[in-house]
Amino acid sequence: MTLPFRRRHNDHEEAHDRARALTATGFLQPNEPADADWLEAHLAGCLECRTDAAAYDADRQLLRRLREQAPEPPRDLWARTAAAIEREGGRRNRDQRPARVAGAPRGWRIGRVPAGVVSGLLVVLVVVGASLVPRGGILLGPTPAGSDVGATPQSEATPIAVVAEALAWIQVAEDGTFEFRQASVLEVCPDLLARCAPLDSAMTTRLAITEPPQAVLLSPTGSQIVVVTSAASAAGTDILVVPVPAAPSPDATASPVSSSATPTAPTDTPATPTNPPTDPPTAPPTPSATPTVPPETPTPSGLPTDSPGPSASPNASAGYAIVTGVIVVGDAAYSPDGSWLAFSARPAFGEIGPDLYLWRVGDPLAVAVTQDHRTFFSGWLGGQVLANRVEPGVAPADPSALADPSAAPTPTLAPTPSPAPTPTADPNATPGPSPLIVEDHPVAFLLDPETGAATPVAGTDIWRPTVDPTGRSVVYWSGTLVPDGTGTGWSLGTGRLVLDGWQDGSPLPTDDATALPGTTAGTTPGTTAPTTAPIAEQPVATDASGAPLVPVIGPAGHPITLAEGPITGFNAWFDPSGTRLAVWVADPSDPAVGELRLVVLDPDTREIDPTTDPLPGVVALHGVSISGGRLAWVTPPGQDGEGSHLQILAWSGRDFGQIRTIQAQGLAVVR
Amino acid sequence: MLRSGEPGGFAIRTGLLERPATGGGMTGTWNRDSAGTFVEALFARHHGEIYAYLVRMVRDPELAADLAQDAFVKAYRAYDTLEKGENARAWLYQIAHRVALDHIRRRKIVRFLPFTGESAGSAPSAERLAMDVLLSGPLERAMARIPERQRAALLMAEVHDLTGLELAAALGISHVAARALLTRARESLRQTLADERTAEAAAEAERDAAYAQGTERGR
Repeated sequence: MTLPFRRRHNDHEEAHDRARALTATGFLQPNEPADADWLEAHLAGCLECRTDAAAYDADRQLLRRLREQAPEPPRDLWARTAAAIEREGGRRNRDQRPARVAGAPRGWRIGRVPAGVVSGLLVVLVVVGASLVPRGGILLGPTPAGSDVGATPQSEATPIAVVAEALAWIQVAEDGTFEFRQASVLEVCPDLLARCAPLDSAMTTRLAITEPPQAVLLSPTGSQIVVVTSAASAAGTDILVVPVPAAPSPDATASPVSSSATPTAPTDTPATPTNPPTDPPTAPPTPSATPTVPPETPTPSGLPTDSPGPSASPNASAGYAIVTGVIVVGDAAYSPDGSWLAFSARPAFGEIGPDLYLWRVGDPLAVAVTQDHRTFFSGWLGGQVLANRVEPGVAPADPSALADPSAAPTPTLAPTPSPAPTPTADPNATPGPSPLIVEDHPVAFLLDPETGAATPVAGTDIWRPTVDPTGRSVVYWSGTLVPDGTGTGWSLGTGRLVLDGWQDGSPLPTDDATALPGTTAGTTPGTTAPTTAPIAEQPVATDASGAPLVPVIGPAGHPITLAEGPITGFNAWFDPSGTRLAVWVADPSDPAVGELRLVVLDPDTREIDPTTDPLPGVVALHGVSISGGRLAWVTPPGQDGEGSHLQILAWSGRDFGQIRTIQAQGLAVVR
Repeated sequence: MLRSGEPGGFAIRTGLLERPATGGGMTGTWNRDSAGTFVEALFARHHGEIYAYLVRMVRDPELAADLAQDAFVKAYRAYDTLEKGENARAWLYQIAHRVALDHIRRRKIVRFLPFTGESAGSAPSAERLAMDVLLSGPLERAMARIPERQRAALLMAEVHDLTGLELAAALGISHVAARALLTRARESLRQTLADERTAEAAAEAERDAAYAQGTERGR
């Protein structure tokens, strides 16, 4: 029991807080008489609270003076709003309008529109048209809500027919499990406000997972999906492979896929082959030591005997795990031909960083092909894996170390025939962390999954490069990394997100097992060069005109800034043509949400086309799918008070439009 | 049906703003003409304050105009969700508030660089310069530094005179939560404004010192 007048240690503070609260809310509406009396008595004896009350009142008077300085709205605000509303009304009316009565004249609606509306719209059209024409004509992309004026001519626009690749996603079913759905995008609306009918879909299989997965991938052959399970699980992440029924079928044919056959997680060591290839950047494998899992690879210790280990073929009718008990870092991706899956992961327990994993489709397990605990999967370039390794930086407290070429952060890179881009020296780069923090330097390399041969990518501070499928452009973080404090990962340091050209030279000869980053690589076919000299000191073979003889693999060195910081995370994806680039940048306060933008590149020059900006920036959840003719993303719940939708931007030539699915729970786009 | 020119005359004369349900609105079914007439009246009565609210939320007059337009289109679209005509003002503020927060959230994520030089380097308009002056005082700077929801609560309560219940409805929270938010907002503003004034005084002293030093050298 508490005595009513017993004082507690913090009564004094509570009284002040209460006085402040009553003072503050008293401006909004009168306090209750009892509260008002209490406040008056308290203020009489409390100088601090009287001071606060006086400050509140003074601030309030200042605020109220803002009423006298009300900003004047633009004179055309009503005209543009009316035009936007008229357009919206036309769409809704069209959606609700019953079929036209036979025999009715086709143009009768026009005759019923008041002349005032027509004249108003004409005025808007003339004004807007005049303002748009000098800038190169009316844009064909969907108009953002904030700039509807230019879209007036499309007020009754018909849907755009598109030929886009099929789309797949997952969502929560009524029973709480996740279902895999597929749909074809045949038409889109030029303006989202037109509200095309929601995309129709068919469920093809059901996944026995209860938590939203980290990612879902569809194999290029369409025969299986890979589910990276939730990263929130205490036991770590599993990667499950689930067959997809050959033909989409209605719900009745859906068969639950059980994950009960999932092998238990290995202890501290992820699945490792008996004869694992050595770390490419530091200790390259011999050509014969391929990183693939030989069929006879023994089961890693810790796997139960009834698990689908290497001795058992995967159950074709149920999902099976190719790796368990890890934390998948970054994206996983199939090779373009669908024969490999690559990703980077670290053990769920322990404080070591990630390694690169490869899984040959059909093999029982994925295999770690590096063991340096600082290698990251970045993407595929043709049949080769594009990966990153983080090189330790040097402490800025020791300037002599920076001046000494032998102590530079990238001495282990193989020689390159041309000076590498040095983005960190860019004066436009985003201010980075405190000088007291040692910044590490990422290097990139290509790895042939069949042979284990690695090829260095020219340049340093190239982090998570994404090369377009045609091999002409690359997006990457041009900058440094800083340890994230966990001992297992890195955050973006000083730099910027850039688009650059890609020099797609033939890979350097790799028949020599030492032709790997950190060891020896030839500068010209059939020759070798010293291994430890820094890049800038490497002899460069040139022709008579001074041009390098050897094709260079790497960024062209003419980066264009796409986004500047502070950036905490990003992703970039090209469409198959290499002319549509989706860029997603994470919200610093919520890494699951970010801003998505579609950049259109000129097919000939691969420069950004500034006249076409079909998706200037929308809020999207992490995980985007871009493919032939369309881009798909999931909107976070809460936008405009609505739940999540799968949103699709599709295009046909230079015409862009959007469509979306109905709201659903647990939506995730399948990449 | 909407008219061009000055909005709202008919609707205000006939009191449609207070009783908008003529085949739509409160009946739960959307009707184009009723929605248009209602929003037209709503615009005539409140567009100035909604625009002013949005200017002070996003501190950008052109953007505020876009967002105001967006808010009225959303009001038109969601006309059938308004339950009582007398709540229309708070309902409109709620829409404008969400539009503003959605934008601010997007803007917070990252600043993508413009791909064209269209806006970069162009001289600001006279209206823009006047607005910059309007938004550059210590109070405006302090308001810009406090959290968006607190800023919204202060603007709605003190500048736009929403009542406690209207404030709660506009912010989409309970009355108690609205009062608590307003209390936090006043405290944040008090502290931030004090910081701004201190910084301004320090800058002033620095300028004076520099001037005095220059004068001394001149001698």
